[in-house]
Amino acid sequence: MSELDQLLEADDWQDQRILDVDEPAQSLVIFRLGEQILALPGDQVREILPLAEIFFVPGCPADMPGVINLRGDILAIIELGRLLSLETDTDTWTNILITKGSAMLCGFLVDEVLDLTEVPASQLKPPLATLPAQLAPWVTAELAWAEKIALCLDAKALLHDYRNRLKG
Amino acid sequence: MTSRTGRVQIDLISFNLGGYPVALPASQSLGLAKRSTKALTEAQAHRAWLLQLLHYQEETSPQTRQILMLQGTDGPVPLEIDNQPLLESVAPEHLRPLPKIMAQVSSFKAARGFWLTEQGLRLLLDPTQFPTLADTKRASSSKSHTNVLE
Repeated sequence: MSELDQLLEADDWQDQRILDVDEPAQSLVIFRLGEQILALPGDQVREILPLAEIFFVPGCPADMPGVINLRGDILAIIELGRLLSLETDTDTWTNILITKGSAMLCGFLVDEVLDLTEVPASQLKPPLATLPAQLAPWVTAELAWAEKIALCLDAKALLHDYRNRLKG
Repeated sequence: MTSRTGRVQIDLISFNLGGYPVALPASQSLGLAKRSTKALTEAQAHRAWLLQLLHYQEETSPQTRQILMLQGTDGPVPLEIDNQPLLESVAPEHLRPLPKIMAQVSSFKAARGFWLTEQGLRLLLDPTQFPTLADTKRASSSKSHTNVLE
C-alpha cells in the first residue's frame, strides 16, 4: 500500500469516527441524593431551580411537603429521596427539578445537580441485577460518570406509579 | 363582586393561624364574636385542630386573639385566630387551585387553593369542610400520619 493510500485510508477512518459520534445520544440531568448519583432524561426535566421557599400544605402525604410558586404556577413538591426510600437528609437540598410525568407537573427535591450532559446511547448500560430492590422498577440504565455509576431514572414511570399509589 | 373598572373580584378575609397565612371568602365569614365561654371553647378546639394539622406548637405567651365566626354547613363555626382579620378584594388571576394530585390525596379537605399575594402564598380555606367539635376532639387524641417538616 502506497503512502498515499495509507493516508487516504486514515481519512476514511476519521470519517468512520465521525459517524460513530453521530449515533443516537441521550441528554441527561445528573444529580445527587445523599451518596447516590442519579440521572433523569433531559426531556423529562423542564427546569432546574435553586431551592425555593416551600409553602407547607397540611394533610398531604409525608413525601409531599408543600408547593412552590413558579412564576404564578403552583407546583407540588415531592421528596424524591423519600419516594425512592433512599437514606438522605432533609436539610441538604439545594435544587428542585421541575419534572413532567403522568399528566402532572411537579418538583423533585434533590441534594445537588452535578451535570447536564449528552452521552452516546451506547454508554447507557442495562442496570445490574444487584440494584437495590426499591430502585429497580424505576432505573432504566446505568452510566459510568466521573468514576461513579449514575442510575438513570424514568420519571414518567415513577410519577405514574406514585399517582396510582396515592389514589389507591 | 365587580370592581369600579368592571373586573370581577372576590372579597377575601385573611388572617393567620399560629403564623400560618390563610384566607377565605368574605361570604363565609359572619364577623368577629365576643369571647363568651361557649364560643371560646369551640373556637379554641377548631384552632387546636388546625394547628395540629399545621404541626405548629402553640405559644404559651398571651396574645390578643380574635374569634372569627365562619359559615359552616350546619351553622356558625367559631375559630380563634391570631390577629384582626383583613378584608380585601382580589382579582381571579391572583387565585390558584390546589395542584390536582394534592386535591385528590390531601386528607385536609378544607384546603381549596391559594391566594398569590406580594408577601407570598395564603392557603384558601373552606369552613364548610371543617369538622364538628366532636371530630376535633377525636382528632386531637390521635396522632397525624401526614406530612411533617422535620
